[in-house]
Amino acid sequence: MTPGATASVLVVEDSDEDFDTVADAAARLQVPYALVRVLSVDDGLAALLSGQPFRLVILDNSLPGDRGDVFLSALRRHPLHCRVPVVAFTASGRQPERDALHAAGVNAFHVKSVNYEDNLWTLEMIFNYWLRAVAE
Amino acid sequence: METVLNDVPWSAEPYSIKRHGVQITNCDSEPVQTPGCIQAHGVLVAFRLADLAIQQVSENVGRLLGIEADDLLGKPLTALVGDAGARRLQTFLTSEPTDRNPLYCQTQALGTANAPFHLIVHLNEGVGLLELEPSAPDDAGPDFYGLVKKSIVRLQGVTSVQEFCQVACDEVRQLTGLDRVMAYYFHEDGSGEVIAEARREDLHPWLGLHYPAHDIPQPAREIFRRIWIRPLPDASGGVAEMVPLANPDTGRGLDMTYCGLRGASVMYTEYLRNMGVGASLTLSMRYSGRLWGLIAGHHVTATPFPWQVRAACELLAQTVSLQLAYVEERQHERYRARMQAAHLTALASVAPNGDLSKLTQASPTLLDGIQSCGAAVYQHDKWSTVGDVPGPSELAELAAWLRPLLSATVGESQPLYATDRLSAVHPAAAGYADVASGLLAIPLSRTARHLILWFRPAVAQTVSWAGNPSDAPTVLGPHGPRLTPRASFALWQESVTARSLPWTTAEREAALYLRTLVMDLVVSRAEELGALNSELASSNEELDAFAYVASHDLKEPLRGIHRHAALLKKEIQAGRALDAQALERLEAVTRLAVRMDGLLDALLHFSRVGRLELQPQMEDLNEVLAESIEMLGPQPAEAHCSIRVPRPLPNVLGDRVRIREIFTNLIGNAIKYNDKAERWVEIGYIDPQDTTSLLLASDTPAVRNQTIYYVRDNGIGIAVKHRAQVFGIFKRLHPRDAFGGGTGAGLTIARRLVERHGGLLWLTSALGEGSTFFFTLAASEEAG
Repeated sequence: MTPGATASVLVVEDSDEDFDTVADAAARLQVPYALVRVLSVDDGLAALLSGQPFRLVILDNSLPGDRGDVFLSALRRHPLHCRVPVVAFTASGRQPERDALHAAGVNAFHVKSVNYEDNLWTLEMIFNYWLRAVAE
Repeated sequence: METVLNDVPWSAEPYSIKRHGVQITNCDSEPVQTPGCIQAHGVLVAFRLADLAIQQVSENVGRLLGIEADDLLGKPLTALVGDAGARRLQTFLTSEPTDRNPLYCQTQALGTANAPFHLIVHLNEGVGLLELEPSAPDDAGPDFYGLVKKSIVRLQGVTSVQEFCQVACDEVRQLTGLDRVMAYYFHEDGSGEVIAEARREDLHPWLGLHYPAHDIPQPAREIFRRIWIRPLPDASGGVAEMVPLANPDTGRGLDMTYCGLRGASVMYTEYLRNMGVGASLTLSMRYSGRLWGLIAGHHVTATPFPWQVRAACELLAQTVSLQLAYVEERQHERYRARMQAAHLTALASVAPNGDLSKLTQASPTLLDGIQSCGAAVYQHDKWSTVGDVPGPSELAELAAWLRPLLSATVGESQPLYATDRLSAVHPAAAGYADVASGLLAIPLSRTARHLILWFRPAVAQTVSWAGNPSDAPTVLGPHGPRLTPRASFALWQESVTARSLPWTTAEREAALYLRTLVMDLVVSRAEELGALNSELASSNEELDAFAYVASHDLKEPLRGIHRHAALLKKEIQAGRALDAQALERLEAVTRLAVRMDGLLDALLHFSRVGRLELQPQMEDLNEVLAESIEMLGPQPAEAHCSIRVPRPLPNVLGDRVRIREIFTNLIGNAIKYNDKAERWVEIGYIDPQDTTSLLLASDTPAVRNQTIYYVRDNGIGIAVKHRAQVFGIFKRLHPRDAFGGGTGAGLTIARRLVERHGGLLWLTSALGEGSTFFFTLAASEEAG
């Protein structure tokens, strides 16, 4: 990580409502990192190149243009970001998509629910685990 | 052959009926061609062709001609027939085709005999054979030529083998005046059957009599393949031995194959005497080198067969043989045609659904094809049968035994199994030999799981000889009752216990042909089903993937709705007033509901596009394009987008409404995905002959002789990696609200519509410069 730079959580999510849910969860847990949102793989790649360090990536797989696994592969090849935990939080739990994400090196895989509270709960777990349990 | 001869009593010297005779046990090795003896009513003289020197003469020459053998042997023929006679003979031999062909030469007085003798002469391997037969006053007889001519005309008028043989018997009887004339047919196993008979009315019928193969020993059959006629005017007339027994030149017994006077086996004469027969005349029926059968004439008393009668009968036998091939072939042809017609008609009832049980139910059934008493078909784990067949458990057991045998024949030239003695090869079948001694089976699959079987009963079940059981002779020869027709029939019956009529070549061929037809039918149905199955499987897979993708895209707005509703609820519960934020949430819910509605509409439309019937007509594409631009409403104007049509579009065969939709989708996209200040869309076409159009890229699909339509823009372009993805349902390349939003179903639907027309939709693009969507509206004339 670039010393001195403030780490943040990167959220790759094209849906406004779904990003708001991520933000809600982060707010409730008082996650001590800023959320950086990108809407597509291309934007995500640009964010990687900005040199900003990330503590965690929440990745939606169903994105306009390239799918999330394309972003993940690029991230794993990036010298600065290759060790960042990436958690997939996506609408489709279909096997081919899971396989593609695992092959690309995803750390965890969670399926979005229609239920807002369920999604909050999942995201809180994700934050708790990857930002607290793993870190300490 | 030598070893056999060493075991018989005549191994030390040439065979002679008189000296050696034969027993039933060794009659199959009797040298009937060199019997050493002749029938005693005539005289046989063997002479050397070179100098006409008499080498052998029958011992009865002294009794019949008053000249002793010793006075003739070594002498020229003049010693017997005089100078003039010898000269005529010599001329005759050089001018007539007498080689292995006895011909009447002359009639003259010989020695001290009262009546003149007929001289009949032929050559056999350099040896001259002169047969002398006493003449009778009425020898000239009727007009044999006229009789034979009439017989031949009658024979030409019949078409069935049975009728043909009946006519032959009638004619021979009329020609010879014999008491009984029968036609014997030799079955494939060598056994004989009387298939036609002409007889004196007071004699018992022998029609239908069967006898075992060995009743006519192999040597006799061999001889009948070479001669047309075999006269035996007096079964009790005795034999006269040749003197000397061995020919001085060859050292062997004299070959009498073609001699009318050839001595008869004692087996045969005893058989005739046992039957009360005094004379016999036998003609051969043969073709294609095969002895097909015999015409056998019997007379109760001894009777002469003058050479004129014999010549007429010989001609008749030759005519019968020539005609037989034609008659039998026609009969087989009719049978073949009947089998094939029955099979084809029966299969027609099978064809609609491949149900082979129809072969046993609908008319005609399998029984109308190949002659059989019953038939069974195994398909879809069950039997269906017609006629007399073994019971269900017997069928199952039989099939289990049969399958390995049959599956071994699959891939061979004749994938079938045929037997006329089932219980001999499969003892378990003994219990139902009455219905299934004969079995013909064809496998309908590689493992022979599916089968067609034909059954035939035991022959003994189907044949009974109508002959009078009490017609046994009162006085029997030394071999007892064995040498009688009744004993022969009994022996034959024993030999065919649990045996059926054999399956003929034509029947096997018919079964194999039926198999081919059934396999074609079954296989083509299986292929059809297989293709449908794989189509279904792939469309199921597609549907699965599609439903998954679609449902998750549909859930996206739902999640948003749920979120806003949940938060709103919580806020209200917390006592918060309905403020501006709450109103925002409700507006978001409404907006998301509308969005969801749009997705569902697109989904339903897409699914309908897959099913709807196109209504293709010749349409003016310019009109269709105008309509679709109209449907876009103010969109082009608002986007400051010009629509260009470089040249008028052609007429096209297609569904007007659907083509309009294709244009609307493509043009709408072209207008939307454009960030230029000067936007334009161009609609045009490329002629089928124009393969050099600059618009076409190297990766253009193989569309031949097709007009290619295109919609081109100067928009944002599509990256190479996304060119396939743009056609996925709800797949968008840009964030939800960028470029005016949209469901992401437009291109999916456009492609489906093009495909429904049989055409292709593809694109070329340069990122940042623009895209061109191409499509065709008919299947390519040359696929691939």
